[in-house]
Amino acid sequence: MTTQERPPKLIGEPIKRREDPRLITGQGSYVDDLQPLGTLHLVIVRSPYAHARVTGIDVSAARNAPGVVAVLTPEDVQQSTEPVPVAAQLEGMHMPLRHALTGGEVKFVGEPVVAIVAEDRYLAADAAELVEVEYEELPAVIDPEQALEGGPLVHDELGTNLCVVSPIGDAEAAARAIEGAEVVIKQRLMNQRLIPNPIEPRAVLAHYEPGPGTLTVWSSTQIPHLLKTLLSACARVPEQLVRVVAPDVGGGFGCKLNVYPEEILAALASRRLERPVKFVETRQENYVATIHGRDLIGHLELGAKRDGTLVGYRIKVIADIGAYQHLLTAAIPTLTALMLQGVYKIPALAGEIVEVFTNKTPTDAYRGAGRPEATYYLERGMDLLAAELGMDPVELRRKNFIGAGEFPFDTQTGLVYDSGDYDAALDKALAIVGYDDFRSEQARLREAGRYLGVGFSTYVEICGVGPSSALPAGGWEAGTVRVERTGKVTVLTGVSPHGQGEETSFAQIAAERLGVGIEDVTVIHGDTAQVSAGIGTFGSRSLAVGGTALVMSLDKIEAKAKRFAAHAMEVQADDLEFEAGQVFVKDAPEKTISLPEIATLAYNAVDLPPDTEPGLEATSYYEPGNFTFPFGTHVAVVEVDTDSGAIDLQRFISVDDCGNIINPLIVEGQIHGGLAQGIAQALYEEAVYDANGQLLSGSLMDYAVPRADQLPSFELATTVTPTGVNPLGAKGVGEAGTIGSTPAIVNAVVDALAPLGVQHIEMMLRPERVLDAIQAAKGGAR
Amino acid sequence: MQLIGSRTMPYARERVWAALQDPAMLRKTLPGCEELTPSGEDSFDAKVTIGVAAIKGRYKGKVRLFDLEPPRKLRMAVEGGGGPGRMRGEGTVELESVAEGTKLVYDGEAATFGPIARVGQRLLRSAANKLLGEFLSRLEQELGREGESERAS
Repeated sequence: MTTQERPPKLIGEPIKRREDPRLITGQGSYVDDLQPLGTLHLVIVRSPYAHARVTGIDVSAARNAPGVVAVLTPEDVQQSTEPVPVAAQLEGMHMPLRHALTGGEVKFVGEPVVAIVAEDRYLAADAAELVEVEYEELPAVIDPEQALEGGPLVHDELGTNLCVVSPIGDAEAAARAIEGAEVVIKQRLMNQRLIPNPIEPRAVLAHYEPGPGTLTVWSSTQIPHLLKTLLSACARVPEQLVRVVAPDVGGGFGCKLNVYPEEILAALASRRLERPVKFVETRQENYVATIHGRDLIGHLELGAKRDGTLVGYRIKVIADIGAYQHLLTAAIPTLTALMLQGVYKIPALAGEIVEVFTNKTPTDAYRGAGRPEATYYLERGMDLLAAELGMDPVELRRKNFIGAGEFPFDTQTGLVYDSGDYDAALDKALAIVGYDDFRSEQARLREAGRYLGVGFSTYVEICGVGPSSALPAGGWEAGTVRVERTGKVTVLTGVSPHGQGEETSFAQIAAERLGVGIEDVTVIHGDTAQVSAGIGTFGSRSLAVGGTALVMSLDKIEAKAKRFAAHAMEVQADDLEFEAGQVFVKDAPEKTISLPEIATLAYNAVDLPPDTEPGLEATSYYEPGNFTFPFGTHVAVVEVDTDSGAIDLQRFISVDDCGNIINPLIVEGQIHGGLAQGIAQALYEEAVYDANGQLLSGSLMDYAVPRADQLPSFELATTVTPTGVNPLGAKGVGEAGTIGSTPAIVNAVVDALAPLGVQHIEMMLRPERVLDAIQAAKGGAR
Repeated sequence: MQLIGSRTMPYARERVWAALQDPAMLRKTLPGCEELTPSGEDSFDAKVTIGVAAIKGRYKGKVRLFDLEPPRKLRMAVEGGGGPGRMRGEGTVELESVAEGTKLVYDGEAATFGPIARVGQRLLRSAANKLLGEFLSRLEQELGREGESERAS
């Protein structure tokens, strides 16, 4: 074979996402698009109170309402199902369980109390209004610090609001280092509560068929296989009779990495009524009944020498986890602990993560999950330290970077960073922003009374989640490659993309390896009846872990194809080369046998090679040996109007290193979305509760998901430092934008206002907080 | 959520005072009021249907008047709930004789629970003010009509 005949290179190419034409022309199929004959609709009656005792439930009027088929009450559901599952169980953790419906005491606004099943959604909603629930209001605790200091108890039986305390690092060494440090900065840093806001709220359709006894569940989920196992237990249907399908899913950001009461209720109702039962969440419900993210207060102490060398870092983190644990709730703040060290050499480090119950919506994984918090604390800390030392924040960072030659690097938190070149990303970012010129321009404009600022964030995150030892239900991934009889290729993967583009990137890998056109490869995911096993999509793991399972299966296909080819060509398999869909004898590429020809041999099976089974299909399970650690430098340039407190984000530069890149267009897309969310944490988004535990920012009117016109045109660049953890050399990029960007914004705003004496402003940086900070720095109230 | 406002009507203070405690009058003037029945001394049970945007729905509630200082001042506690959520509030109504008639001044604090608490505080306040405004306009209208029929008879 000559090089001219080679099919085009696909890996590394900016190929447009193949799923998009379907998704943007209304050809997608989401749960709510599915309407099997006889579908019933489920609507939930939820607690309006943050904490109350249910003293009476009268469903008689609802039962008799038009179209109502069934009404589920707490007592009934508690007898017929298992509790809502909690997978992340930490040592010494309190774990109050709840069922899909709560009877005795409700503990957050939005907690499900009664479920109505009716012929259509509107009749169900009308009937829900007829349910009379009597509540005796109880005192609620909303503030986590107050919850720790003897506020009302969320769970009386525990006698405390403390869920668990997890220490990390060497507390004594850190204490000694900070006591002996020449300079110490201390700061309380809030990482406010956020609402994930996928464009498609949660949706589930359960269909129990009494004949075969099967339960099919279509769910807008990130984890179809885990949901199958857990739902089988919760709804008491044997697992082999449960099939879960994640059809097109309109985003998740971690909030669909869970098992929710409504999934259990739909399954129970369908089993009882022997009809399909659908639940589709309204946006209003989504705000209180789907998990929230972040909500951590960090009390940071960072010690250094006068020359800027870090000597010790200590932090106490108070995580407000809301009223209950969800699937991974308790584990999320421990990711903050793992990533405390960031990109720096810190000789002594210790953290204490205190998780606290309050009468709020439970928190769980939200894009970045633990790493944005760790990055925010350390990167704000570095700027506070730079200000204290009168040192340039870039110089301070560089001075403490783990050097490119120091990998693999053991952190104080027990991780092994795989690879990195933090200086390279920083250099590139500095060049793009034009740092020296900016500083002179900044000085010139300050003379004119204009306040510009530049903020840096040099981050490292943890991806490719992960080794199974680090997860409660396995961190491997599975992937199958099947060469069909015609030589067309089906890829089946256990990851469950819902915006990450693996229908494209996985096809790029398979098509290039097998030498077929990308149109000859179909990627199947999200259906447990088609894909035998999997874990799902979260923790920026799909490519690094799921992609590696795919590569392993491609290797097996290649080996088996060689056996068939060797047998047909009467040569040794070892003498054959597999390249671009053709198998040929080394140094004699004129004689080839193609993949469709091999497929025919494999499936007709008339003349099988020795010890070879018919067929051309391979499945692999990949267990990663380590996480991967992407990194980068984010830079924000802002101007602050000191009269109004308004912040104008003028530039945002993002230099990210996610290792080898399969599709740069997808990487860019992931970074764009991540930056929007991370910038929004600094500038726009905050879940605000009143003293009664009511969510005041409870709709898109009051919770500011950023619009395109609130963001600048991003300036993106990459550096490429492959990982040795997996054969693709890819690290993952789904969360990087969210992790790096937030502190860069806050650092930029504080940098702008530094001449006025401002040292810190808590997020989100709404104009009134900015003005308050300016006034406080001037030594007076606004 | 705080609700503060006033309205001046060209009627004597005693008439306005009486109207505020007359179930028949309140039934006619409270927006969307379907039922209003006395449930004790200075207490009423009410059923109301509200048709304003995000707080649209049927509500059942209790109204209790207390600390009455006729015809000058009363305090009012309101509690109610329906499909869109629940509310609880307390406030003061003061009547002041002025040259133009009577100036009614109200000052109340209300807390909302459930979905209505999430519809947006700006919207909620404006919806509440709209309903209050409607109530006072109707009250004024009814008092006027009453006056006319009295004159006619």
